[in-house]
Amino acid sequence: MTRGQQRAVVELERMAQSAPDDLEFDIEEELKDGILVVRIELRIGLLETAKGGLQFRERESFSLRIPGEFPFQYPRIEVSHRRFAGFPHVTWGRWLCLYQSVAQWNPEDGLYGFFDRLHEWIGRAAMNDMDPVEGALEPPYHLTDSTQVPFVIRKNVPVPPGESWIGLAVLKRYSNRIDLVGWEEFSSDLPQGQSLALATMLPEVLPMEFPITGKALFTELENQGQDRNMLISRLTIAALLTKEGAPVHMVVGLPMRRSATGETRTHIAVWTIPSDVGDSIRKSLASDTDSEALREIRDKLADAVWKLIEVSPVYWCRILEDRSEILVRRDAGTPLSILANTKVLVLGCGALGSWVAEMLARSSPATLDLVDTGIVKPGILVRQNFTPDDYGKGKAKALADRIEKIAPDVCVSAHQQDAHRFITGDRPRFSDFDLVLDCTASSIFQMKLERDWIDLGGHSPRMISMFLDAQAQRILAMSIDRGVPAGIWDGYVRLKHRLCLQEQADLANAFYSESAESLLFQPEPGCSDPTFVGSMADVVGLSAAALNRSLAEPPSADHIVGFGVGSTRCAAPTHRTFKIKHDLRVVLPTTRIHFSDVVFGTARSFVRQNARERTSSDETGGLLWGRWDEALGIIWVFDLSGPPPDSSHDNGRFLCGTEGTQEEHDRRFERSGGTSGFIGFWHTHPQMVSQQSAVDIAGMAKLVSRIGDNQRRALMLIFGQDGDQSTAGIYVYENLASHGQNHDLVQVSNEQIQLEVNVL
Amino acid sequence: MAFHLGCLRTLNDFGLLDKISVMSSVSGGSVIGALYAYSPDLSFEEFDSKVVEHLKRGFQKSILGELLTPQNLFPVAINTAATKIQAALAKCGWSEQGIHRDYSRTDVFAEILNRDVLGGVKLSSPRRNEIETIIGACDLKTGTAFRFGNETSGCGQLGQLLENDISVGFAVAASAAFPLLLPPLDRTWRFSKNGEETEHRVNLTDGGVYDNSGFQVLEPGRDPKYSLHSFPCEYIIACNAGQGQDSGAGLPLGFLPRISKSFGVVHRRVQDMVIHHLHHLQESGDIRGFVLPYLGQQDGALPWKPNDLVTREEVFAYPTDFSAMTDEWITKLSGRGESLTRILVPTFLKELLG
Repeated sequence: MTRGQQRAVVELERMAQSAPDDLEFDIEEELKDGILVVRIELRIGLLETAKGGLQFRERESFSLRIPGEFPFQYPRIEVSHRRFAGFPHVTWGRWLCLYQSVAQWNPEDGLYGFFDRLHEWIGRAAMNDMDPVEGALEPPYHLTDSTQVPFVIRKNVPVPPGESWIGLAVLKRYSNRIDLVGWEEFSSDLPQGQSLALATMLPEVLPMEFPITGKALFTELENQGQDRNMLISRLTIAALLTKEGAPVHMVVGLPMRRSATGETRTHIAVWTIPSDVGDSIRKSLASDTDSEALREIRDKLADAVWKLIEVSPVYWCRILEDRSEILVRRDAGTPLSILANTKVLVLGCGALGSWVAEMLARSSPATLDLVDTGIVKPGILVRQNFTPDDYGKGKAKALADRIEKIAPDVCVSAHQQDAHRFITGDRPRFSDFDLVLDCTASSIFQMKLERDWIDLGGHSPRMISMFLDAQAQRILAMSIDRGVPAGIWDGYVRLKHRLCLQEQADLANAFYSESAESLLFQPEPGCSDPTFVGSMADVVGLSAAALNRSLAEPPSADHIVGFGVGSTRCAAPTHRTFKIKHDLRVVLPTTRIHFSDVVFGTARSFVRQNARERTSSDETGGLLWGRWDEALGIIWVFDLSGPPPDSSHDNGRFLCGTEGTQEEHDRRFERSGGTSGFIGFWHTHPQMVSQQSAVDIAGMAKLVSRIGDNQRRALMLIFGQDGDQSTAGIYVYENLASHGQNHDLVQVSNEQIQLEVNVL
Repeated sequence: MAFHLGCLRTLNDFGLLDKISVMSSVSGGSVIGALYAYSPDLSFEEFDSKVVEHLKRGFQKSILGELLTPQNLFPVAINTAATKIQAALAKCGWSEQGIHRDYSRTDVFAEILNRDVLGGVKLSSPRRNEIETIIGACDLKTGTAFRFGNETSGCGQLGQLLENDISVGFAVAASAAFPLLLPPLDRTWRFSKNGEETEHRVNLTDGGVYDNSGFQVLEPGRDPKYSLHSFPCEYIIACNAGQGQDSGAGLPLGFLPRISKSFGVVHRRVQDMVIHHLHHLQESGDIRGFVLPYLGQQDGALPWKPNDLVTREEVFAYPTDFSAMTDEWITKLSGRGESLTRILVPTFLKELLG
């Protein structure tokens, strides 16, 4: 006896001593496999009973089997009679099923806990309360052929539970399993090139313990109206669908499962007949060319085969369920679960994309498109989701191959193509994705996409973008909604501005400081792009966190969402969310202007200050601060400030001063990490339209020339009124002189817009 | 008060004043806070002019002048002397229960506030935009916060006042009674707690002794079982006229300067922790945003520094003593409040400006 079994015996002795009338026990034997068999006799006494409940006698005998690993394995208990056979939670007529899983067993409680459980079992069995209809139902029991590979049932059954159906199961055979991937109606033309098995859905249940012999099974099926000849013909078809030398399979569906909420579900079992019997079945089939003698031999063979099946044990294949109608997904309710049955695109299949793609694939999207131009090289295996077998292959294709193995139901497509070209080459295809993951970490790609964003015509998909810092300690992510008027680069520009100005020093330093770039390194000195330092644990942890956060806190039509996530390697790991309202965007022929939402509110505050300090009819104005990106043709107006000290205010005239402008530009430029600097002027036209006047035009060049020789462009913003409507005049000035020449600024475009905020 | 006026001006310029639903004030800030909240019939411009008028006049002379009137001089002097004798007896163990100090300089201050500033309004009087108004004081007897509110007043330990029929001037005087300059207000009131009515004596002094930011009642997650005043807010604008770190010049020689300096250090450290706490609340999502225009703000830490900014060095040494102010100082202090608020709001409370 092991120490555990000795402890069990001591516990039995104590229980028997404390209640000698209720419990008696004898140690019967110790089996070869180390199991200690103890016969116990329990006084059941009076029990409350209900119709259909088990009838217990005054005293009942049980055989307790205590494993050598007790108490870390729980004992099993059986009865020697068959009075309990057929009752739920009694298997094979004798074994009482007390525990669904080892999780319900507490080793600390030992046999005391076991007997508590047995007591509860007996009480519920007497009340016929073992199988509540609102709960899940355990699958039936049957003899299993463990020599064969299991069947993985991936496809939901073709008809509701309890409805008769006969047809074909479509199989995919692998070395370790057979996947059931579809159902086909029976027709005279069998599907070609597919592995098939006969499938039948029965309207009635079988006993919880399936019949052990063929004869008993036939009897049960005949009770359901499936006569013997019909069964023989079906088995014959099943044999014909099977290759010579392979065991015959027949898929049987029975309304014998229940979902977690009690709805009836179809249990799938696969009856298997040995290959030699299958060969005999095929040989017993008559042929048109058979002679009389041969036909007689075939008939005799058929009779012999069916007699053999009748007396032989009926074996069933192991079943591994993967049907959505049976399984409760382990990721149900998680942020990624919303991706089920969606169309997803991953741009970039490197350190981030290769893992993100796998995370997405496991969430069962309908389609997953992978885009990357790179190939798999040895060094990247440190942190990218590839194997040495992938060396030299395109990353997108290698990753697609891997994902097809992980998630065979997902339609994966690989595109060895530049991400920008993939998008612009087929814009409707791009618009059709439900979610696009930008894992390129390429500012060039993001800028080109921003430049062309307007061409998408408002049909952009929802996008999430992410990139790591130089030491893979933090990740920055950006999430934008479907159909928004600006892309991810616009989001990153505004996020950078916010990070730098709002004292998010750790993130600003990690991603936007000069030192951040200097920490990058060349993995293959001389011939590779600089990259970050980080392990697989770093990139997987951070990309998973960014993905989860981005999906859990979605953007909207009103705002984009930025995320800063720090790993546990950071001094202070944090998760921060930045909701950033969409800018007001004005599209001019040569330029797009993005006005931050604070611009107009701030202008209004200066107008009120002016009215308080002077009069409301005096004009006021000041400087505009933002970013002018000529490559993209976009001006971001982040902020405006009030009149410099040397400005003059008059009724009908405002002359904007320039004193201190250069210093303020330098301060803002430095503080914003180069995101924001001087871009122009604003002023008011109280009770007037926002059209520029001759005075404004004349003043523009003079103002700019006073700020510095390098000022080659400026934006003029005039707030005015058209009746009750607050308006703004937008004027873009540029110096069109070629290099070396020095011309005045000239207006290149203008626009009048109506404002929701009443600035004046 | 001048710094706070500047902050309010810019908030008004941004159109944010009308969005304010709770105003919590302590100490000297209670004067302008109460004046703003309890002047529903004044336009902002009229309120602004009234504050400037009070700043120019100050309260010191008024208190002194009022004290020297025959009807005040005698009772205050008698009361002060009696208190001193009582304190001496208590020290010798001959008296445990202090006598009531029914009329003190702080009572005179309350009368002046009621008469000259607040027009005798009660806590339950109409308020601008129905703002929830809390004026924080500290009960030296229990060592806990004692808060006056337009709905209810009291403290967690004693319960709520059965009668909230208290003048705003009294609440403000209690809140602003800096213990080194003004004696506490001494009252016996009836309270209700857990369905029981009891009578307690309270000794009310400067609210800044307990919570010198007034922030506590706005903090999310306060349990109403223990807190009479709980007004969790999405956004917090904390105007702070604290001077910040000292330059280090000059030694605090003597008892009063030493104690005064120590008070200042403790206050500043608590304020620093409040700032940290506000950051944590924002990071955890418990509040959506905050700004803290702070007179003692280090200018180098501002998101940017406009050229017309009144610098910290120009104003931070100005004393907080309710004395009459010159136009120049009013302009400087209010100008700093204006500029700081104008810098901070667009940066940190963007979503409120849309």
